[in-house]
Amino acid sequence: MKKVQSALHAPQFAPPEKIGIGFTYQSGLRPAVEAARGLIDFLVISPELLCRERADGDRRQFKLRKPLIDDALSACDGRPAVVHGLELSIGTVEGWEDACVDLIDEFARHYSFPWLSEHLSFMQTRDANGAVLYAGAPLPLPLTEAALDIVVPRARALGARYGVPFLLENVTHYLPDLPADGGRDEITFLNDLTERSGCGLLLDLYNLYCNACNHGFDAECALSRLRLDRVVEIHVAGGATHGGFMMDVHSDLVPEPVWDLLNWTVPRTQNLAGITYELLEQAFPVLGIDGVVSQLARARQIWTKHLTTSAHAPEALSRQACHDA
Amino acid sequence: MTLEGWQCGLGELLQRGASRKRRNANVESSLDRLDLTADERRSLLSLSDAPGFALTCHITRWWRELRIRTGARLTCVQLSSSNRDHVLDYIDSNPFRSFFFFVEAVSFLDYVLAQAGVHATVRAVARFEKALLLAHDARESNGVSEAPVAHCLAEDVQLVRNADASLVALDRPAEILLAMLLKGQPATPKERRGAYPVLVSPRLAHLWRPASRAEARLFRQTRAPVLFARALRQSRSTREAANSLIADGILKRARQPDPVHH
Repeated sequence: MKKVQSALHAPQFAPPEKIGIGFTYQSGLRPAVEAARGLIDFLVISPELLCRERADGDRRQFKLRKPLIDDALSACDGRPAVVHGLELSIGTVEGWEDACVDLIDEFARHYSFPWLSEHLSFMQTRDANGAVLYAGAPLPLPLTEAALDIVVPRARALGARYGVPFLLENVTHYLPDLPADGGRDEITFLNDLTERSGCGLLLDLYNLYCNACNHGFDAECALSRLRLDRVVEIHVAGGATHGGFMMDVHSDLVPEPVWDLLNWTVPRTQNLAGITYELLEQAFPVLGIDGVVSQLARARQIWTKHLTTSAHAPEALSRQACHDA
Repeated sequence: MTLEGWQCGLGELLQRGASRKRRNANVESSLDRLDLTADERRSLLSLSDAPGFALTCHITRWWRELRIRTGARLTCVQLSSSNRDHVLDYIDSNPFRSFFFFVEAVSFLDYVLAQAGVHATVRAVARFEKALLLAHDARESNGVSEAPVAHCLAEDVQLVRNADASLVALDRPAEILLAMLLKGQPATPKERRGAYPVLVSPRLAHLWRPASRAEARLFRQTRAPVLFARALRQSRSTREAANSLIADGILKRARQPDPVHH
């Protein structure tokens, strides 16, 4: 991993301008993007899905497929694209995935983006021989000081590297009793992280909802304790249930409780710049264009409602939140 | 427990849990290499007993299966009822290393091609599918360059294969084979193996086309650069074959004439 400078400037959070409604891009979703163009203000591009992987000895290399990015942007009439990384593994003690940083560097040489986001997780460890062991799925970090010590300087460094806000996304996980210290839970961990690093939060309401269902807590009460002023982007999605667990699959319409959480959250997030509906391309044939359009339209309705009633007072609403909950 | 210890322990337990073969192995041995106290060890082991841990293992396996079945769809159909065993054996014997459909699919096809007991028809389909994947990947990555201007090939030119091009021998016309496989029907084995040679190249509109006998012969000759004059001695139709193979990006003129051939 490249050296991360931990002694950068004091963390300062600078929210980006408001954009509106976003949609995840995968090549298989291009017809949906074209059909729903009027409802989409920005695309969410994961460079790892639009690149090729090459092995360079033990080191991975991702090479951007520029024609695929150009194609994505043309499908959306050149509307802005935000970068949403998938495989950085920002929480791995031994270091993040260098190939991802190189890939974003390459993306940044060709395109501008209003913000960059990644998942608050780790996906790699080391085996007995020191070789990389890939988990195959994002795993949660313990809610500890040690985890903050790893992630905070990296989050700071990424914001500084690209000169745009860097956001971390709360992930769904299925593991009980994560190690925690200082009485932390997921919410206080996120608050400590954004406070210390200056990074923004990509609040995935579906992930939060899954965790609330799977681990038995009240999502709205949890939100009321979250630093919502750090929320720059919100993700909504739908998924599936397996073995009694709600899973983060992006395979379905957004469940009603998640729309309720969105309605509750948006007026309380003064720095919110976009709401994204996430969908997996494999699920598109099932939902169809009508399904996608309905979700984007509903997200836009909530965005517009709260944006036009911008006399909202997030602080007052936040204070009210615990009583509501 | 250190963060590193926790992450490595969880990583080891996940590898074990996601593998059909290792799942029943002694779970404690997964953690032997780590410097853990008894309490830390107990804590990680109790995690691995949780239903949520089993689900996490299931998710990693499910995504790999999806990538293989999507990326190597034709071969999975041809493997028919044995495909699940092959996919799971592959997953057990090849640690996860990539989220890319292309990388996982090519790796799986290499695994199938390396299996001694695999039927010739499966082998041919796997070769064909791998060639299609490589050609498609090359086209998406590099685009398709202009076809070289046709002109009379000098006899002292050396010809060599393009790295992205392949020749695959099928036991029936490719369009029939593809139609069956895309409908989910495995092709029944035939006696006339390899009677239908097919060329695969990023420059071909559908990535493949049938090869004439002269084209197949010339392609086989050009694993290493070959002097055109020497190839011409094989058949009168070689010149025509050379021109069509060059136009379709399957052969190219070697940059440096090899003095050994002069």
